[in-house]
Amino acid sequence: MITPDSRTQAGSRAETAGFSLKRWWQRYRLPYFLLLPAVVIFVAIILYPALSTVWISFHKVQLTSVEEPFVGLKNYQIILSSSLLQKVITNSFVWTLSSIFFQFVIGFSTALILDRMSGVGNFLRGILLLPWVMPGIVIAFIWRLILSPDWGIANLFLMQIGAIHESVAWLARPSTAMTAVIVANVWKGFPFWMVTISAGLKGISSEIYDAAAVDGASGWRMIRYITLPLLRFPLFVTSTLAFIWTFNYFDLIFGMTRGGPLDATRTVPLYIYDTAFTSFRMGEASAGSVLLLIMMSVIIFIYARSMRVQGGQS
Amino acid sequence: MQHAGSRSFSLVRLTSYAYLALIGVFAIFPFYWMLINSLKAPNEVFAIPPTYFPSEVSFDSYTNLFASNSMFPRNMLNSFIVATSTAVLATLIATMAGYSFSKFRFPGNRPISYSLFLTQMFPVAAILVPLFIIFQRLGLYNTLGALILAGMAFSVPVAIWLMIGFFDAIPSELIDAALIDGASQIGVLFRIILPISVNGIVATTMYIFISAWSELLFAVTFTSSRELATLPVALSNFTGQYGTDWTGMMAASVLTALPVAIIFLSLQRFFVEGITSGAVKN
Repeated sequence: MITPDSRTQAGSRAETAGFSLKRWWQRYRLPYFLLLPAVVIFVAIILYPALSTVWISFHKVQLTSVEEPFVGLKNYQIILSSSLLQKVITNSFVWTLSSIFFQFVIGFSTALILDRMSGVGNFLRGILLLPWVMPGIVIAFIWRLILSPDWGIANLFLMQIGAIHESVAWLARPSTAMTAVIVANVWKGFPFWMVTISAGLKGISSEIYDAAAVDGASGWRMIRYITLPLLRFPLFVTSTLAFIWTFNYFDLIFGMTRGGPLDATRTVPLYIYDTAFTSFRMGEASAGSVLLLIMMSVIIFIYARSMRVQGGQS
Repeated sequence: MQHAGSRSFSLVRLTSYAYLALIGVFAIFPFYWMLINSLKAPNEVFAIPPTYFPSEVSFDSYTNLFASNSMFPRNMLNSFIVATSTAVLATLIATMAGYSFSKFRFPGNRPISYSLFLTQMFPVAAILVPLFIIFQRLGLYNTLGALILAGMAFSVPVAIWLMIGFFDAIPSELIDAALIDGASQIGVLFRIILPISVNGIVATTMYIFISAWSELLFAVTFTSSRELATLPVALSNFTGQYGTDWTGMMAASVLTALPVAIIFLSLQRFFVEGITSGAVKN
């Protein structure tokens, strides 16, 4: 039986079945409108420049001339055949992997200890986090003073414990400069690991440990077979973030050595910065940027995929 | 047997506290060293062996920073302008976007918020050249506006992420009730959501303020004149200008670090949550 009521219902069903731009607009205009400024900023300041880096890398761009002729892969040829790029990439990996390894060791061990302390633990965690939020340039200056040659406190300390016999100009020697900037970066970065691992540890119930203790598991075995596997997800996220942030970290090395001495501490961001704004070779800098973008995209892609896989499981 | 067990347990405990104390000294000592050297007389910095406490406490390095010919107050003002504008504008934009992501279903919600989240891993150095050229063509090169725009692009995503966290905690029933009472969607935002979220909005603003206050790479790239130098840029030029005036450098470092430390310590819990939310909660 057809009532006026059911007829209008059928009518509206027909209307939703066919795509109606007007309804769509009415329904979604508010959420899209609220997003608009964020999306505009993102497109204008991140997406568009990222695409134009690719364009610039295939052209000869000079600030002094209006013409920007196409040069094909020439910029890539120049940087890939230079020995500097090889050194820069090696430096970047030494800097990144050593930094995050020691940050992890200190961050993980302090988080484990703080986890057993209740109220005081929270307070200490807050204090220990201070290095993480400090401006990079301030950290650079403090460590430059600490690592100064004769009047530096690090030299005095190391001589007192007998690790070295005469004072070392840590930042002025190519053989020691990288170690020095890594020490400063470990100081800055370990709190991040500590905090994320602490948060992960809170999620592990003490019953699991109790059960393992009843079964006779010792401290090391508990860490190896219970704690680390249960922390797999936070550790995975933290190490991905730390890898990318450390790889791209500019301020600390810029403030401590400016990439020197003799390029001993020159990492990818300092290489791009100096190629573009000290040597004014925009094309080469952009070619380097594109290589960096590709590498980071691959890492982020793998990260995003495995996040989805892991997220789906949990 | 039991006795031996408890003794080895307390030994573990003792070792771990000693280790913690060592890490504590490692974490705190550089701050102490910065402060103490800012209070030394210029020559005492070069004493061999270095002194752990100034033989005579001197505030000269601080008063010199505020002498009439010093650019330091100007640098501080520049940093304050950039950090405040970036923080306020980014939070405003992020509040709108966060409300949209959190309380509306629409096509693209997930993918857009996800790709915004991934921008915090974006290699900033990779877009320096095009941004430099764009700012130069728009006449924004060597202005504080360039620093604010560039800073916003990278703080908006973080801020959106934090705001989504706050808005998600607000029960939808509250909004539904208001809508039934005849309030408009925008009315709900202004009369209900925003008043509840004031703490979160303030904390987010402070979070961005700190990162904009510390920002160096954009500032050295997009400004060149001394009048526009922010604190990090001025600090990085310090050595060149004054030789190795370590007490002055340490005093400037203390004053640059101080606002960051104060804001961080007063909003500690929020910061810890902000840092861990991405890594743990997903």
